[in-house]
Amino acid sequence: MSGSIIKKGDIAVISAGILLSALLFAASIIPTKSGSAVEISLGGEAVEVLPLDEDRTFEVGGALTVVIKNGEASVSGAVCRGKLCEKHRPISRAGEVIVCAPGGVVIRVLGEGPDFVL
Amino acid sequence: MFCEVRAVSRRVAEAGVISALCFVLSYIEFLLPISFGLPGIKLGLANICIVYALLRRGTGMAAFVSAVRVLLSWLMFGSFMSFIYSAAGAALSLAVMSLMKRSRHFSAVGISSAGGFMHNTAQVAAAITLTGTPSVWRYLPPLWLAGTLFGALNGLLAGEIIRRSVRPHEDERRTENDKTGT
Repeated sequence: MSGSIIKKGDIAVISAGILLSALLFAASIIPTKSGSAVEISLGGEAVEVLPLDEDRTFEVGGALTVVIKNGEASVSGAVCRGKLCEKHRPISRAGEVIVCAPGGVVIRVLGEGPDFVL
Repeated sequence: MFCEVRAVSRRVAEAGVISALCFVLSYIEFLLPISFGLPGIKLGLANICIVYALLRRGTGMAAFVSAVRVLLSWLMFGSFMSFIYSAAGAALSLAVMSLMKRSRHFSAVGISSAGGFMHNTAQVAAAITLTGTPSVWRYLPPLWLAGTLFGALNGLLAGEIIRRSVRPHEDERRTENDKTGT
């Protein structure tokens, strides 16, 4: 019976989890160039590409509104419960994403630079 | 014959009780979400019940409880997308936790921690597949960290619950007690 006594294996699991997070986090903050445009996709299909140098708003599938302002993209007016995508900091660098998980909306900055593919 | 019927009834009743408790924990998290700013990061309290079911009654019971929880959460307060994420997470997490239980090198803490990690891994994989956007991997580091740490905490609770709820006539304690004559 596995009780509450912590075994060596447990320490290994927790250490590995923290280490992997740290490594991938380091990879994710490798600076990339500023992007030129954002691609908005809904359920896996690109629906719109908006240039970042032009302030405007764009409504996606009744789920949320993408706001382009000062060369950065952010989200407002989300109709989902948690509204986590609204709290995401504005994105502007190549490869950065904001995901609206319940609505299946992804906003991704296009552009050159190291964009890792898992 | 009578004993077999009792054993089956007991199992059915237990599956019902654990599933209900599991769903209540999911519901509490739905009512009082603790937000950490990214989709997918949550305490995962329901995993306490899954780990309990896995370690006390085996993979079958844990799979049943997990399936009930995922289905009920979807019907009660989920969207179809959240159902896919949650089902993917639950399946991978349970598979890994079940293998770890067999290896006997891990206690509830390690098993639950890996479960949290795997749950979030599967969710991000599902998100990448569903949205067709590989860049979503950027969500992984904080989700992995949260899954590992909250998973370990839940495992600590599950382990403690198991330790305190094992009565002398059950499980492995039986043989111990037989030896000491109590």
